[in-house]
Amino acid sequence: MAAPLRTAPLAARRVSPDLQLVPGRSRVAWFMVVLTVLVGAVMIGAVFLHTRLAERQLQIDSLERSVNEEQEQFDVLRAQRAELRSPTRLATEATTLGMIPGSETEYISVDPMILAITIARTGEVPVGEMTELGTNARMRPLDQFRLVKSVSQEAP
Amino acid sequence: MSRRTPPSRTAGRTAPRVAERRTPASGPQARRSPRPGSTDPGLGSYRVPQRTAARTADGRRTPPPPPTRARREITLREPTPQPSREHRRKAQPAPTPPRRRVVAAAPDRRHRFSAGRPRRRLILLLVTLLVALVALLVKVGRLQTADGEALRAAGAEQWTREVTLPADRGTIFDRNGEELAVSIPAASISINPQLITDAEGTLRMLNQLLVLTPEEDAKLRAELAATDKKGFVYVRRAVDGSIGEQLAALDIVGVNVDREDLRVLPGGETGRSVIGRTDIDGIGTAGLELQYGGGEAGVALGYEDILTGTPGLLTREVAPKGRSIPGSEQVALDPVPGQDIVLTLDRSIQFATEEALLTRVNELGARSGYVIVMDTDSGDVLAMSSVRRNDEGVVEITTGNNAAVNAYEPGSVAKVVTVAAGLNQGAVTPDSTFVVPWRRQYADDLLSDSHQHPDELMTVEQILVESSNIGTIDIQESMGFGDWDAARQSHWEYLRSFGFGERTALNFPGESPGILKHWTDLWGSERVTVAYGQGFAATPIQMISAINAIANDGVYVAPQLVSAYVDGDGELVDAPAAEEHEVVRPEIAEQVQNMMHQVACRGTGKLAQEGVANFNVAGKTGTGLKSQPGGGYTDASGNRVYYASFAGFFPAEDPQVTVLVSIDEPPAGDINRFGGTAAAPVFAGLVPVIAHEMGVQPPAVAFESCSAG
Repeated sequence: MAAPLRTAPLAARRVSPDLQLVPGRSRVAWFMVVLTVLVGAVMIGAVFLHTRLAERQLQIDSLERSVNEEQEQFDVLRAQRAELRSPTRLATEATTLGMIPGSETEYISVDPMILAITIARTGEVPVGEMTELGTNARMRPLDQFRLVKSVSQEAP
Repeated sequence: MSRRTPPSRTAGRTAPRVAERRTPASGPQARRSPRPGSTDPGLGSYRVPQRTAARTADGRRTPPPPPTRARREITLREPTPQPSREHRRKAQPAPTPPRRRVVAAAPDRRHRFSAGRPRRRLILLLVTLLVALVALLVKVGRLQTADGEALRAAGAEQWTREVTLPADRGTIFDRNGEELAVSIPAASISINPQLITDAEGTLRMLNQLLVLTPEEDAKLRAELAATDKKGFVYVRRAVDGSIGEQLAALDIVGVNVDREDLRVLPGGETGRSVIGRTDIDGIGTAGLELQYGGGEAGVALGYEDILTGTPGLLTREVAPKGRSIPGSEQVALDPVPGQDIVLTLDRSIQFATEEALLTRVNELGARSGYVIVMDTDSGDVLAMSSVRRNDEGVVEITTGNNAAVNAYEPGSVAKVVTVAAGLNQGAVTPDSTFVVPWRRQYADDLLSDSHQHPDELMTVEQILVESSNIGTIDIQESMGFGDWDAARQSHWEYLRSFGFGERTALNFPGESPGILKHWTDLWGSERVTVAYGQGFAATPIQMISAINAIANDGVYVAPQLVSAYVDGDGELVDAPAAEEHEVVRPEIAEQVQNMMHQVACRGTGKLAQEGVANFNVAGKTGTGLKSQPGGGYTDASGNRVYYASFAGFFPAEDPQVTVLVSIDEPPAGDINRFGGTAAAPVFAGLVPVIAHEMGVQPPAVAFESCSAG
C-alpha cells in the first residue's frame, strides 16, 4: 500500500548538502593547471617559432639580395675584364707603346728524345682542380663563369 | 553488501517534484494511469508527461519512462479545499471552462509577440536569423565560387601592379671562353607626372644625373605641364647601373628606377658581324643574337630561343594615385636565365682578320671584303669577318654578316670543283692533256682566258695552275664521255654535293642559298661558264665550305658557328657535330691539294705563299665578274666590276686551316683587281697569326719548297 505523497517542506528543499571534499576535484584542478601551462607553452612556442621563421626569412631575403647584387657585380667585372683582355684594347695599347705586329715566327725543332726525357722527369703540367682555393683567378673566363653559375643555381 | 545510494539525494531532489506532479491527481482516480494524450481541464491544456514513478511490489520505485516530448516545467496548482471536480461539474454544468490549449485557442494577434510570449519571439528570432544566415551563406557561396574569380581579379587589379622581371640574357663566348657579348645591369628611368609636385626641382635633379639632351628636357617639361598628365613616361633607358642607383637613392617622388640589362660587346666591334645586335628590350634582332635569342620573332623565323630565358613577375601593391606601398613587393615568378652559347669563333683570329681586311680594303679602295677562317677537320668557323665602305667612304665592320648573306659569282675558285669532279669521275687525270686555245665561241659568246696565248697543250694541273677558263670547260665536257648533257648534269650534281645552291647548316638569319640553276635551266654560254665560276652565285661561306672539302680529304663538313651551350647548372653541353659527307675520294682530294699547292708555288696565287716562311700553303685564286643591277658586268662608266678571291689552306701537306679572302669591287684598271693580287696577300699575312693562335706547327715531312720546284 503506497503511502500518500507529501510535499517536502520548503526548508528541506532549500537546504544545501553539507560541504565536503569531493574526491578527484583536486586532480581536475591539477589537470586544468597542467593543461593551461601546456597550452600556454605551445602558444609561446608557436610564437617563438613564427618569429624565428620570420627572422630566417628576412635573412634569406637579405642573402638573396646579396647574391643578386654580387652576381650583378660579377657580370660587370667580367665585362670589364673581357674589355681589358680584348684584342682591340691590347692592340691599341701596344700601338701606343710603339709595338708592331710580329712578322716572323721561328719554330725550333726539338729532339724527340730530349722531349721524352723532359716529360719523364717533370711529368705533365699540373692542372689544379677548378674549385681549388686560389685557382679561380687563373681559370678560363668560361670555366669561372660556369662555376659561378652552378653555385648560383644552388642558391635558395 | 550492496552499495546503497544515499537516500537524501533522491528524497531531496526528485521526490518533491514527483509529489507536486501527483498532487492534483491524488485520490483513487489519480491512481489510474491516465490515457496518453488525454487532457485534463484542471491541468490546463498541456499534456502531462507520463513520468509518474511506479513502484514495485517491494516498494522500490521504478524509474520513470523517458520523456516523449520536450520537457516542460509546469507549475501545477496546489489542491484547494473546494468542491470536487465532479461535484462542480454537476452543480454547474455551464459555462464551459475556457479552453487554454494553444492549438485550439483563438490566436490573439495583438499579443502574439508580447512580453509574455517569449517562445514565439524566440522562434521568430530564430527563423529570422536562420533566413539571414542562409541568405548570407548563399551570398558567400556565390562570392567564393561563381563570382569569386572575377571579383578577386578585379580587386587585385585595383591594388596590385605587375612588373616583369627580365631574365638574364645568356652570354656569348668565343671558343676560348672569352666573352664576346655579355649583359650588364643597367637602369631604366621613368617618371609618373601625376605624382610629381615639384616639376622644376625634379627636372633639375634628373638633368644633373642624366645630363638630359634639349629634346629630352623639352619632352619632359611638356609632359609635366600637360593638363591631362600621363601616369608613365620614359626619361631614358639603358642608363648606367651606378647612375640608376644614385637616382634611386634620392627617392624622388614620381621618379621610377627599374632594373634592366644592357648588352655590350667587350671586344668592341670585334665579331659584331656575326654576333649581331639586340634591341633596347634585349631581344635579338640580327645575327646570332636573333638566331639564338630572337624571342617570338626569332621563333617565328624557325630559330631556337636559347639566350633569352623566361622573364619573371613581380607584384606590388599600390595606394591610390599609383604610389607603391613599401614592402609590398613580392616575386610571384622567378625569372629563368637564358643559356649561354660558346661559339667556334676565336676572338683573336677574328680581330686579326678584321684588321687585315680593313687595311686591305682601304689600301685598294675596294667596296667591301670578307674573310672566313675554318678549321679544316671540324668545319668550325674560326673567324667570319665582313667590312664595307659606308656612304662617307669609311671602311667599317658591318653590322650584318654579309659573308653569309651576299652571294657572288665566285670566278675561278670554282675551277677547283670542276677539276675535282673530273678527276673523281675518272674523266681526266692530273696528267691528262687538252689543246687549249685562248678563246672559243660558245653559243653567242666568245669566251676566253684571262690572257692571250697560242693554242697550248695543257695538262689538267696546268689548267688549274694557270687558271685557264677554256681548259676548265674542256674538263667539264669530258665528264660526259662524249655526252654533253651527261657532262653538265654530272657537273651540276657535283656542285650540289659541294654545297652550292642551298643554305649551309649555319642557317644564319638572312643567309642566302646562292643561285645555282638546274642544269637543264642553263642556257647559252651559261652551260659552260659554270665550270669556271660564272653563271652561278655563291656566298663566301658556301665557297669556303666547298674548298674545305678538298682540304679535308674529300669530305664536305658543314660549317659550324656554335660549339656548345652552358645550361642552367653551368654544365657544358656540346652542340651536335657538323654533318659531313664525302664528295670526292681521298686520293682525288690529295691530287687536287697538290695542284692547289702548285697554284701557290708557281701559279696565279704565288703571293699567297710569299712571306709565309714556315708553311707550304695551297689555294686557288678567283677573279669573278660581278653582275650589275642593269645586267652585264660593267658599271655606269663602262668598267668591269670584279670580285677577287683567294681560297686556300695550310699546311699544304696536312691541311688544318682553310681560309677564304674576298675583295669586292677592287679597282678595275689596277693590277690589284685579281684574286692573286688583291686577296692572296691577305691570306699570306694571316697564316702566321692563325698558326700562332691555333698552335699549328709545320709538318714533320714537308713538300719541297716552291723555290726548289
